[in-house]
Amino acid sequence: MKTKAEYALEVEDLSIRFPVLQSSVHAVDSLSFKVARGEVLGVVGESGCGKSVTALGIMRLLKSPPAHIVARSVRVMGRELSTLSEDSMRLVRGNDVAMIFQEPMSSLNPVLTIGEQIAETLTTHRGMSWRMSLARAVELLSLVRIPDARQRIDEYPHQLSGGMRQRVMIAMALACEPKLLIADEPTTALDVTTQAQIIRLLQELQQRFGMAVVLITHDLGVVGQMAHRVVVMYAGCKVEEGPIQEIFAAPRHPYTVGLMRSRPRLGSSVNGLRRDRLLELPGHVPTLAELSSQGCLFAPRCVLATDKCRNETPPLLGRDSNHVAACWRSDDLGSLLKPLSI
Amino acid sequence: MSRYRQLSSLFRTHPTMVIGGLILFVAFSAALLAPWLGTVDPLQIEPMKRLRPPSVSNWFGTDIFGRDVWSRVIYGGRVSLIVGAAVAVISMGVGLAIGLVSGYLRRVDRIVMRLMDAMMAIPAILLAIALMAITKPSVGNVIIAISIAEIPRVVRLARSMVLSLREEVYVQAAITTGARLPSILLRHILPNMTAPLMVQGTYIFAAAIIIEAALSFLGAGTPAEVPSWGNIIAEGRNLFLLATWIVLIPGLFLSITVLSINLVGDGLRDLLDPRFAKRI
Amino acid sequence: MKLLEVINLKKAFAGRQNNLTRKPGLVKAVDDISFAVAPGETLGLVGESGCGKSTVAKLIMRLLAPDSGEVRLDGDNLATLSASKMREKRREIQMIFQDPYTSLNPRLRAEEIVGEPLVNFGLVRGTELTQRVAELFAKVGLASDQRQKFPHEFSGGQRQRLGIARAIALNPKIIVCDEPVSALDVSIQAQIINLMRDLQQEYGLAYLFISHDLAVIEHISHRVAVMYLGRIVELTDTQTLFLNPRHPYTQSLLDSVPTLDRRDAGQIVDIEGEVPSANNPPPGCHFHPRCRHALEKCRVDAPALVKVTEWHLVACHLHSAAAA
Repeated sequence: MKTKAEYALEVEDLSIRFPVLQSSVHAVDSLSFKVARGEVLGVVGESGCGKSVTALGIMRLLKSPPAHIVARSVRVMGRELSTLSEDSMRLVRGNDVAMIFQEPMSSLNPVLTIGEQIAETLTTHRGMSWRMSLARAVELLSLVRIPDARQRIDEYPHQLSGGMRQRVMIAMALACEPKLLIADEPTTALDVTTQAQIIRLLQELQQRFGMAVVLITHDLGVVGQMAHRVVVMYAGCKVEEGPIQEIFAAPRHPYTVGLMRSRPRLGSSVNGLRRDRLLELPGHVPTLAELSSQGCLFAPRCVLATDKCRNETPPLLGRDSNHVAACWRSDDLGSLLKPLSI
Repeated sequence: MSRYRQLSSLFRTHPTMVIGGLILFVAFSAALLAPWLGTVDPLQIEPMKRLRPPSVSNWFGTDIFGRDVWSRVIYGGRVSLIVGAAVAVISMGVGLAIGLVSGYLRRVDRIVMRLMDAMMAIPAILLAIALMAITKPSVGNVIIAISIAEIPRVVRLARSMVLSLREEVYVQAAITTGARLPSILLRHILPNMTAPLMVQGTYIFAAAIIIEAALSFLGAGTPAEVPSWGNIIAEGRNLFLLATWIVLIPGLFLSITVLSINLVGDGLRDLLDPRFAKRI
Repeated sequence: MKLLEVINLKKAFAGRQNNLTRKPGLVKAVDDISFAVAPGETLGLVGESGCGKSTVAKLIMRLLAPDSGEVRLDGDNLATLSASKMREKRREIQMIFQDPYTSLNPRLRAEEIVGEPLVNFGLVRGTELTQRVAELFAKVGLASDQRQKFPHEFSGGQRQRLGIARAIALNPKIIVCDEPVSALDVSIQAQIINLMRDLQQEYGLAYLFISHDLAVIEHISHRVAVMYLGRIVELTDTQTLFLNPRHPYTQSLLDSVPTLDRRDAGQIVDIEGEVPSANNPPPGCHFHPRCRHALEKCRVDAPALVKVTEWHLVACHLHSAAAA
């Protein structure tokens, strides 16, 4: 068993609400998860499932009000974040916890050179002199495999390609050697070949620094490539969690199955599956206002839904605490999992 | 939903717009119902009652000719509102037509924009004065003069909107589905321009009222026999210390009317675009 | 029997000035592209950003005029047609756009959007028009009570359905699809892909399916063309492409896709370098700076797209020798 300090991130009962008209909606509802040191946790879900809001909430980057954030506890390396003052929180961001985003162009300041932006993190958190910070910035750029780092530190973000900018973001994030990295759709805006490079880079750096990573994405391929464990989110709730191999081999929630089976598989043309229909999840992801207050949130779209599902909200169940799913019918998913070929 | 409920929920989301609208409604009603609002002939001279301050018999007092200021202000309001509305409609109509064609057809655009730039180089008031100088003063000519002065602004706005709307994907889609030029302009481009144009229209309405008042104040607007707020202020200018009400009251009416128009314009802008419509 | 034929298509745009030579930079977005689509077939056009695939779509749909080359639809060269004949020809080729949020006029109701093609050509009117629109709605899986709604009242997937309904309204023979599912959530993508395949089967439609997503391309295409920096580097049937890719770029592309299985086999394979700027492409074969197998010849001569087997074309010096 791991002791508390062994976890890079512990989130207990995180709920984030936004006011809408006369009431409010839950963007995130009672979410709990842990990330062990050096572990990569994938958080998977489609748009609107709350994964990005969760990350912003943990980092306390949501404007509150209007966001209303409550949590029993949010701890990074055993240290409680939810009670910190804003000043203390500022010291945590970029230092103990770093974050990289989907659109590097909007996250980088267009009027500062990339060298200045990286060095700024170091002077703020490590109190290094400007010269030393710039020198370290050059080292970091080499670390993320940007060629000609010494020349490049004087360049501006718009002079770089998308892949390069993402590397700069990673360099900034790693400047203070954080124990936890939150990556929100880090490769979604990139071409597939660039994505491959960034994934490889993140893997190398993660292993080298023993960093824990929360990898937020909608792309199961990326998760499969990088993550040790996966949390599947739907409409603000966790619906399944488990080790990556198990999730892919034996998922226990119909939504997870749906996500996996909705995507065409590469190589399908070569093994006779291509001509078949993709598994369709009927309907659409409910908007926050459409969420019903009782029963399983996924029931309206689930082919296996029963009255019990519609009336009683399933808790997270599983044969062991390692792999759980919020579903009454986890053991009956066989029909969904049958291979789709003839 | 009953009208009352609609209005009160609109009030909750757009309070200033509703207030502005109500004031305008009162203004328009007053202009319409002028003869029945306790007014007398605004041109009626009463030499015995000159420069009386506001009293029970003359609610806003009298001017240097003994004319009832209340009546003059109410009838003057008619002129202002008519001029404002007419200018708005004419300049919007003409400016829109020119802007649409100019924005979509490059050859036309070159000539038109040079002309518009030349016209815009002259401040609207000066342009209107110049135009009035070559015709005789009348309400109709004032309307034409101010409209001409305001048209370039509309053309510029309409044209720039057409230029950007042309590149919209749904316009490309319309082309691929066989839409012809008139159809593209009228179905796809024009309707997506209405929100900013409406707002511009209300601002022109407000600007026209002010310009008319300024022209009349300078003696280059509505003829002296026709009461207009500008005329009244002009006449009261020299007597400002003696009889402040003659300048103050029409001035107040002017300000409040223009403010109300602007408030309504801002509210209209929010309401007209289906994407941004606040759920009432 | 070719329904759509693209022959030596070229299109360049004014790019940034070359600082050394002071010559205006030329971005050859489409650099000598040729391919054909048969009736009822789906040709996938795959490539990364900046490869020119969207420009190809615009050139084919005549939203842009090519600098040189031909686009033939059912034998007719579109460049030589008069404006009115071209307009008539548009009935045979329609387009589905990438972004469901900008491809629908926010001011028109759903039924007006779907019915517009029919109105443009004066094909039906009044109750018949309403009827036809209702049929189209049903065909794409939208409820008829949605007809009066505005685009912003629909979800992304529903809007894309509207775009599809609009595209099939005129009963075209071929539809150019520019990244039709890229902007949609995964579970919605499946719905739209299935819908498009159903429609293809029902109407015998041909598709030019443009995408950067290899898995989707593989799933839906009969044949695939791979583009890199304005040129086609490989063109063959789907199975061959994914089983036996010849061009080094295609191979790298396939190796780059992250999957669970690849994780156990070791690192993901990534190619060096980035996609070069289209403003200043490398001489010779555009791919040579990133190619593991680059020869001296590759730096100088641009390889032509030639047959290595009856149905497989590759633009690579490594393979052209085999063809000769």
